[in-house]
Amino acid sequence: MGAQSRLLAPSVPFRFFIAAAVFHVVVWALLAVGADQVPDFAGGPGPVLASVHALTLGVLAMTVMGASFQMLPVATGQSLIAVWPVRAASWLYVPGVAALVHGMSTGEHLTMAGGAVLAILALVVFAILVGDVLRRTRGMTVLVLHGWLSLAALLGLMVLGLASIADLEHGFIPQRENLNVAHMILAIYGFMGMLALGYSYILVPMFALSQAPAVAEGVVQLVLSLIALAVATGGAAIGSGAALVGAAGLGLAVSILHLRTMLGVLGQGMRKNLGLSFVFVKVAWGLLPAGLLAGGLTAAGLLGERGAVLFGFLALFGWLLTFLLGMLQRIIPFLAAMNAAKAGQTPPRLSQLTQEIPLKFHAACHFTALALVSLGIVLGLGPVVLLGAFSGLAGSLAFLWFAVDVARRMLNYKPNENSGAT
Amino acid sequence: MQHLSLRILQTLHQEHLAMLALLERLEGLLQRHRSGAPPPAGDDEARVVLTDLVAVMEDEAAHHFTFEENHLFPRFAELADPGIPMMLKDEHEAIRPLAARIGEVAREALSNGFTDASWEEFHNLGGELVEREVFHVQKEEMGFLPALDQMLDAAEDDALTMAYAQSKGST
Repeated sequence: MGAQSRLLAPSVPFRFFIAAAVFHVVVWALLAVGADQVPDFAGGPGPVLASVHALTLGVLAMTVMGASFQMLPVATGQSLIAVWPVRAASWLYVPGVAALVHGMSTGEHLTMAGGAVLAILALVVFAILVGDVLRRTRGMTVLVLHGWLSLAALLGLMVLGLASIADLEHGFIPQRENLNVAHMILAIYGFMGMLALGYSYILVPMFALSQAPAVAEGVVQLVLSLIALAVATGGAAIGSGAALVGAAGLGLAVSILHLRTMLGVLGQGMRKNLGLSFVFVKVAWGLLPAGLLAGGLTAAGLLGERGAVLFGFLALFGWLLTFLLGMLQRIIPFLAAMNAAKAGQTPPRLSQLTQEIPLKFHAACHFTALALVSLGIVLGLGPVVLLGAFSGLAGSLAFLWFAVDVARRMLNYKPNENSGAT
Repeated sequence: MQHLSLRILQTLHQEHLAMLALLERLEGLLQRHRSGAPPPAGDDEARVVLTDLVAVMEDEAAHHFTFEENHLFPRFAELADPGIPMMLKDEHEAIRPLAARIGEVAREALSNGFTDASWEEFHNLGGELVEREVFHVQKEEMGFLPALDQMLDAAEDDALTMAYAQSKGST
């Protein structure tokens, strides 16, 4: 395959981004349906579990797939071995996640298992393609190491996830809760977390136009993260609260080091005005240690019955979703602008492809939703969670509008529109 | 921005930094004086920005862009990917007329000050220039320069560094 494939056809990444925006709507809608169950959620099929997986698989992993397939080859200089497996992965993954989420919502075991198998097949394709790019990449040590660690965590969480689904029907796992906590930790801080941290070393300097952090700094943080992740996963598997507290403490320390590094990158950056997207990124950075603190206090038995739910919400919605939405509102127009013009034509300005109003509306709704749902969990008030979920739902519809509108403008772009001099 | 080892790429990177610093100042000027409200004729800060803008944009179009197009884009296309240099060249083509026109308007303003109409034109051109240049530099710094850093060797680096110095010295 020629190296030109580093710039994929726009339909390839955009199918993942639009699907992620649709699942984002599903996430908040399901959370609204299950709002009364949220504060005391302890696992098991229903709208809350479905919402969580619509988020992790439908939004977070979906976006990571789209971004990785397009941006990793450009950033590393290594093309994908082929593009058809990417399309095949999308055909497996989107319906697979939809079936899994539906099955989790209704408790239909066969639908859930069938969806899980399709999603896992797609994630295996993703892992092979991304692993191949990482294998051939020279340099970019921090990104590559985070990538490998993320793929290892993906393997572990897929095995645990399948076991958990099988156990729902057959009941063969003695300490099911422990396995689910290990699965959740691997998903949040292993697969997604490592990618979020790793891509930060590329994307934050790129958008801020700043020097990348020193490699040694990134490697030290990665090693400490790996230790914290291993202790947390092992501790969860054997039900050791002490191990979880220790891992949360180490994770908290590493997260503060990471924030110090990233704030240093922003401080040195030539671009000071980074717009609304970096408001999301900065809030997400603040909620990363907040989630770890909640997790540690919960493991120590200091946050009561609802501590685990608060921890999960802060980590998944507060940190990962907020971070990803911030990056996505930069990446979608960025890729659209790269793809809108044909060779020899004047490329569009980013502002020609982006509407600000839906993004501002989405931001207001998203942050309101984070505050209200957190409050509802702490107070044990389902109606407050419901209000938050409605706010999130309204915001997610605005974000979907933004994403579809960018794609529409990209497809309809004609050169020399609204250009000052050309 | 990744750490670069080759001298020619470090030089281009430094020029990107200088360009971005100027664009930050230009953006600040545009934000302080909205469209329809030109800076007064004696505004020293505006004069410095306009003077630097004329010099840097001329150098950017005459040397930086031309060198990349004549030396680096063909090499990148040969070694790796024809699509990326093609995209970057299209961006150069979009920036060149902007750079030329904003230079003309800035020169006129340095001599005679801004009218409401010339400030409005400058404001529009400046906004577009900032947007296009920042987006362009982001892409070169993210993928193009780091990839070349992996592909070119020391001998080629010496030759390219010499060629760039000569191209700058010849005008």
